[in-house]
Amino acid sequence: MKRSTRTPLKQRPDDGAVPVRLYGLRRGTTTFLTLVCAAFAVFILAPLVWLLINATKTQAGVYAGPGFWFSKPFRLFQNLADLGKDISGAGVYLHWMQNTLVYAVAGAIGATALSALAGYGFSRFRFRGANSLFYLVMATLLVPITALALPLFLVYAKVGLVNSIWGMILPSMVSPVGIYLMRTFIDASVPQDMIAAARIDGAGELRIFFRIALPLCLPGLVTVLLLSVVAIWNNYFLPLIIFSRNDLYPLTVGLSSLSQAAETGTQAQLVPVLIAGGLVTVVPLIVLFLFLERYFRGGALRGSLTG
Amino acid sequence: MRTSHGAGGSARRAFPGPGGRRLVGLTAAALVAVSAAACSSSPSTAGPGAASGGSASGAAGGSGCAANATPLTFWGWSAGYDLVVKEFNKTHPDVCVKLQNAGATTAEYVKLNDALKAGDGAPDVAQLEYFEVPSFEITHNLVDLSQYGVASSRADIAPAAWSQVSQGSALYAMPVDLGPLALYYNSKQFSAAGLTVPTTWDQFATAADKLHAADANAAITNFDPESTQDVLALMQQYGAFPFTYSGGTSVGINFTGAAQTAFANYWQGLIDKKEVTTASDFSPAQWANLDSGANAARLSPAWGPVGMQLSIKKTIGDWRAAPMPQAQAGQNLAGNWGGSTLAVVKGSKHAKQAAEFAQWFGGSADAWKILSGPVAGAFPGYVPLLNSPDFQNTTLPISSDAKSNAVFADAAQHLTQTQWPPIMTAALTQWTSTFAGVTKGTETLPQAFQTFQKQLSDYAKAQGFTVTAS
Repeated sequence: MKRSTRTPLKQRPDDGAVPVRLYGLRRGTTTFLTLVCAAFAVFILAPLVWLLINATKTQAGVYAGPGFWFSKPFRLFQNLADLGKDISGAGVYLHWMQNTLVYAVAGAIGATALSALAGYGFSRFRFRGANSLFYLVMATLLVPITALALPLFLVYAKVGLVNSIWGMILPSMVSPVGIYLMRTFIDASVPQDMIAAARIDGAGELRIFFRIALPLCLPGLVTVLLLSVVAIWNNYFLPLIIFSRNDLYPLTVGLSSLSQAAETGTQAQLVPVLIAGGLVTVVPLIVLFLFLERYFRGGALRGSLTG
Repeated sequence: MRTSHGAGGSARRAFPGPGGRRLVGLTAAALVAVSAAACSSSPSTAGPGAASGGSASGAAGGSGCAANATPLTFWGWSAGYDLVVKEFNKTHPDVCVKLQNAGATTAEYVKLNDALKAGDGAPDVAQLEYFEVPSFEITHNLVDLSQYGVASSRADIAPAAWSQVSQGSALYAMPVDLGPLALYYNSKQFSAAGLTVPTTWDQFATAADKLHAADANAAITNFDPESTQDVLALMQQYGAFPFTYSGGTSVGINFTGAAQTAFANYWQGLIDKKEVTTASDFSPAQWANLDSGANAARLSPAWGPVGMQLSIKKTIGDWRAAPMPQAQAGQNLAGNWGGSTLAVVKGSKHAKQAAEFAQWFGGSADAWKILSGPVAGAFPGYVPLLNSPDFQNTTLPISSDAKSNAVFADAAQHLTQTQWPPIMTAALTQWTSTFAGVTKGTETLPQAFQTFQKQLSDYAKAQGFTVTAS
């Protein structure tokens, strides 16, 4: 507080940011680095621009004209409208969108709750086998999911999870990465002393968890929630194995079946609709990521609590 | 099970740190963002389709059935099948077919295999492509339809289709559509280059020379070495089909016989002289080549023109169909690429009704009215339709007023009989990697044939088959 009156620089909202020239980098170096970044930006953004442009075309237009410029006729709205119809026999895009939302929201909330509970347990309780258990959780990250495909399906068939939305939601609620994140986060942000003090004051363990630990690790919770949404949104393999009904497909599997239909030649103009579908699929994630990014700046880099 | 690998990469960015004042607000904001995205992207008010069991999109079949109707599950992926199922349910009130799309081709076969292994979740009727029928038959997973009188449709089905799904008197699937090949050429470009339509492969090569000599950018057609079914259809038409199989544990695999080697040398010669292109089938490059004159002809299956006319612009109206060039003058042999059958899956509780449905689907005028209609656009293996003047006189804008269907229908009657081995799943998987070098120019087609002969024979032997080279 004292310093802020002395240096006007600190009053800017992004306090802590230092102008690049003050690092003593030569102009040539910064130009070079900027160019490298710009090249990467083009690399990342070009496909999105392509989606946007080609979603406005007819099928012949997609194949004929230059990929990065518009061609007549302008069909964007027709292509978008087709997302609400079953034009290929593969299913209706909007149903897939709804399914993905259901899976992502339910799965991510579950993943966040379970990760918080498990992370808190690993972080703040000493119990027999704690380390081994934690390593076991981490070890599951090493098993490639493709190796589990058939056994997983057989187990699912036994317990009736094939073609059930729970077959998608339940596994999505278990996130080793989330548990790891929450453990690390709680390690750093929920002081052991504060818990001890609460215990002395007579608070029960549940009360400590809900009233003290959870509010302190809110940034961690939001991180896990958003990461889980993204992971479920993009999950292709699990729904591919467990669903054989196209009205249960999420966007990933639905779009791939639409793509297969487009390849095998039908009477409908599937390719531009497929492109429009791809465009609509990434928009919610982009919106989500804008929040994710802002959150990382706001939460993670804030100074440490003196405990 | 974890959610995905995606979270792992981003995890590094989440530095542990304490909470701040704005965090509650941010959490709320993020949640609002999620739900806002939800609202903006799905304006439909139907509610979550998944939670309700997807009744809304279940319009594919289930709706409007009588309560006591026999329920049948049908896995299929082709466009328009939902309309055919609807018609069946309307005209057969005692049976209620529910269409489910379990993925197209291989995706469906994998799921069907899994469901059969699990002993649960398999459909009553499944769409199978011709080449996949023996693979399911050899594991005794298909019901012999002859016991339900389906063989009575024999006279109505193109013989080449029937022979692919039957062994002796046993019938393992009901043929539906076909994809006989024809030479589909750009008539304006042909006459501008002074080419006559070739009737033999020798003439075809001469025409390719002439075209390429006049314009170095022009190739007579495209040959995609990595497209298994395309190459196999051309081999069939050339009299060089590499497989023989008549049930049991003995398969014939022959990619290195005289006819096969002649076939490989023929196409490698055209590739070397750059007189054919090697773009991937259905790739943007292929469509662009057809529209720009870089390809003057397409060796097209009967279902090809429909998709092609949506994918090209400038040359609409210029394309004509002619019979395939022949290996020997005077022959009239055709090849087949694609087409499906309906098989009744063993374990079905209602095999009789399922067989009745399959027979109606592939062998009735009612079904074909819809199958050959504007949505489905399937090419019939159903002879009464193949022979009908209405069908043969149908025109498409891509061919102006020319009657391509007549050419394709004639080809359907002249298909050589093929027998698929029960190892096609492995063959399809292996093919792409073995033949990729031909596209790149790092190996020749005859070399790839030799390699593939060994790979597939080894695989078949490992699976317990006796392999003969004929």
